[in-house]
Amino acid sequence: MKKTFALLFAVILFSSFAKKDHETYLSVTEIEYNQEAKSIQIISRVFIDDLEDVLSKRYQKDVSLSYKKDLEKNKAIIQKYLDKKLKIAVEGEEREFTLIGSKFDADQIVMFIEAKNIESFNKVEVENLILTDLFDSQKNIVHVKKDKTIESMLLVKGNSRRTVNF
Amino acid sequence: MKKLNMLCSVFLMFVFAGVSAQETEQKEARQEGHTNQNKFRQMYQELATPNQYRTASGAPGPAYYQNEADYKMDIVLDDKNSVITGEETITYHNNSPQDLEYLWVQLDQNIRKKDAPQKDGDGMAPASSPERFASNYMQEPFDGGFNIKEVSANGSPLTYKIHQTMMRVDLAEPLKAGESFTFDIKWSYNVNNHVTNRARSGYEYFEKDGNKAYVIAQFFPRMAVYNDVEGWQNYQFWGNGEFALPFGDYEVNITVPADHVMEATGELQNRKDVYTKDMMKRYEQAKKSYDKPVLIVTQEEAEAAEKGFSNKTKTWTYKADMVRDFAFSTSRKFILDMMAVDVMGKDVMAVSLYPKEGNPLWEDWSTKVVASTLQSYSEHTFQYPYHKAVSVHAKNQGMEYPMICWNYGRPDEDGNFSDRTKFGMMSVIIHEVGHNFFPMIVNSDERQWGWMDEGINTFVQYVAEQEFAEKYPDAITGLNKYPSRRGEPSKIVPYMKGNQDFISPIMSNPEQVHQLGNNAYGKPATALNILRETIMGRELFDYAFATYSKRWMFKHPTPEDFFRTMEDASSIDLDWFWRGWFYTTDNVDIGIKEVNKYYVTDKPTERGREMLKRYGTSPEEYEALYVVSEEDAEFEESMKENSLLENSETLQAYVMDNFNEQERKNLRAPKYFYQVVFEKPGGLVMPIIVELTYADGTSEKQTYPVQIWRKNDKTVSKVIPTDKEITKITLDPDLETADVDMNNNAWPKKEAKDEFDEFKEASQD
Repeated sequence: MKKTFALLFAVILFSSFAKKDHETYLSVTEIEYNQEAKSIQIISRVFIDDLEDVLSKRYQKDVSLSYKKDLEKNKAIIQKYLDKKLKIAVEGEEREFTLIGSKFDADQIVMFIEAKNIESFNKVEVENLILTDLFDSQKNIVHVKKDKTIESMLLVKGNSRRTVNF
Repeated sequence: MKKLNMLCSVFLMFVFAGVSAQETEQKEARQEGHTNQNKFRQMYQELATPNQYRTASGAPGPAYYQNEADYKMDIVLDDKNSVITGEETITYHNNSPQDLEYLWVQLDQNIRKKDAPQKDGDGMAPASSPERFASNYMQEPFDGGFNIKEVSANGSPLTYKIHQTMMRVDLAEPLKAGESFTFDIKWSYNVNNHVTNRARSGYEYFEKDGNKAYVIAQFFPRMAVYNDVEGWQNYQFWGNGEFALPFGDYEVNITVPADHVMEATGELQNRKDVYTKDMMKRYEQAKKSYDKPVLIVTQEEAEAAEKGFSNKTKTWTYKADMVRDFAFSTSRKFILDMMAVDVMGKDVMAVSLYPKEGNPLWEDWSTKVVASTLQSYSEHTFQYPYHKAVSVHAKNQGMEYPMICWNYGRPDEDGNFSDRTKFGMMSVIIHEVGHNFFPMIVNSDERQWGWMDEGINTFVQYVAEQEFAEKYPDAITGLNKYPSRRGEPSKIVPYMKGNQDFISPIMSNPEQVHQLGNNAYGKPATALNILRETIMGRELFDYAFATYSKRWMFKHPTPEDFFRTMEDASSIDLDWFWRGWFYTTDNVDIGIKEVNKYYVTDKPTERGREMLKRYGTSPEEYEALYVVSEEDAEFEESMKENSLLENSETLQAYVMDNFNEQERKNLRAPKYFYQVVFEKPGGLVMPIIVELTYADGTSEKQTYPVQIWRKNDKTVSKVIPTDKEITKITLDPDLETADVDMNNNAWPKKEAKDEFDEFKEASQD
């Protein structure tokens, strides 16, 4: 337990002196309401190694996302994580999402997530805490789109939710 | 000449029609004036005025100077306690025309001090776990940062003031222009574990054998840069804006446990003292091996050394001239291999240093990638001037220093690795070795301009990756080209079309941008790739780019020096490109608004009549040709069947009167006249690239230069005369321009596929 503490604070304290050649600590999520299909369609992009890290640490097992087959194999655990970290309430009611699947795009993993039977999409509250349990300085950019209108938000730990009214 | 007049007047008619429509609009209110907002206006406001230091051509001027810092250092590593102690003597040469009252010294390690200011804001989480709370607010942080023991000159202490990562050293007398000052600093610091905190330097601890592998950089107090642009560049080190360093000569002694194997910046001076006889013998072989690396320390030997834990020490001595920094890596776990590489007629050593955990990937590829990178980069810039380049395996790292860099890419414990790991490793080695050129030699200021080394380097990395795969086709088995992560225009589209609140112009300080990876690496690399492939062409671009590299080799360039040189050496005005791509967050979106197909006739049309009337004439007085579209009332079915001349007696008569038989044979007689109206919802101007597909299945590509937008950058039209019917027009067919919306890129209109639906459909198959 003690070791976990030490590890955590090291991560927190020194993230600013860290560098990989990828953009550390950033995810981009597009949430779009498809009126025809009455569904919310979400495309979320995070860095593969960050997701590997957070899943491995959180669920105390070695989660590797190296090969295509790993995406299918770890679908349940990714869904479990998303259920905890990505929450969307429409018209005041929290909705359930299904991870349809994911694909690799260079060093990122692209997750396709859907919520069905959404009759209206006027008041939308989004909470995105993805990877904030790994990095304090994680920034999650979220675009919420309905028709031609796009509302964007930058969610960080401690300021992780926002409501959009269309 | 006369022959052309007739056809020209047909085309002019289209133009006149457009102009006069605008003229007839009633102006209702007095319009406000405006300053020059033309996308092609020159950048006098944005660029610094040329002067004696930096000229308008982009070359260093007659008064250009740069200061230098020479270092003599004795470094001792305490492996057991992970402490580094150093004594250094700095000789600072003031080549500037000014006297300096004080000197600024960089203390990068101080970013790890317990009380270092935090650059990121945070919030109070409404609920948090006890662990999290304790680590955030109760526990003692890592005891990092420099312990400065002494700052002195000739044995007398100097006064100094440490402010975060900067130390001001006060001088009793100003350091006069042209003079040098020598002083000493004694220091130590606790080395951090770079794996648990993802830092740029530090050690990795290997639990199984109890060893550490050190990658040590930014580890000694270093002189800041003083120049004509910034004065002292003493912007604090916050983490993203990495380096601004002067050149100098280094003599460094590094004392480590006797069983360590080391690589460092510079030429090893006492190889015979620190290498075994076997290592010396293999080293001599490696100097003559140009096709495959020779193992200097084998895996077997490294594994044996892992168990040693020697109490004795050895001192490795390095000397490096004209470098801007110094770094080293040491461990008893290291395997070492080397290979000679012919870089434009000069022998350089390509070197790799890795623990067994890096194999089998590292023994197969690292040194070959280093060699290929040195050749590619040299061909596009200048001959690599140093005698070696070293790639060190370090978990999670990708960091660059002169002659040496840290790179990631580790197979799993059974030695398996995915393509992502393999190409990730190759790409990061190309990138970090490439940094030897930008910014280690073309020494730009990264504290201020991240893109000048990251962006330019990522661009050459893209070129070098493609060339690497051509040299080693078995590195990309199953693929037709190297899978570069950045550089292809289509790859930057998601960023450039993103919400404007989270995008900054490339010309921003790296500490002040939301998406550094896209801002400082991806977008500038893509912009340069587009310049090379689409705007300038390889020949003109490559010459200008090499000119910039050579002009600023071992000097300190600014963005202006780059922008100006690229124009100066190519005769291509690029102010519109720099302004749009580097100074704004605009993106590319060009579309086809409408396409009209016309036939030519000599029967006066309503529109034709109106136009002639405006010019004070009529069809009865002036013999003209008219155009008709299939929707117009004047259209007749026969026009479709007839040829150009059959549709117009007037033109037929003109041709017969003015051309002889032979000339008539050579005349073109286009049957269809397509007027394509292009619109430009995006802010950036770009050339218009169209692919025309004809009814017979053939196609051709046409490019209209960017200058087509110079008078109206919202919409522009173009007439395409053709014998064959056009069935399809595609804008930017090869995805060369980073167009962010493909929905308006085709005629007839074709909706681009929605990424979500596409994935869903594919996953249901």
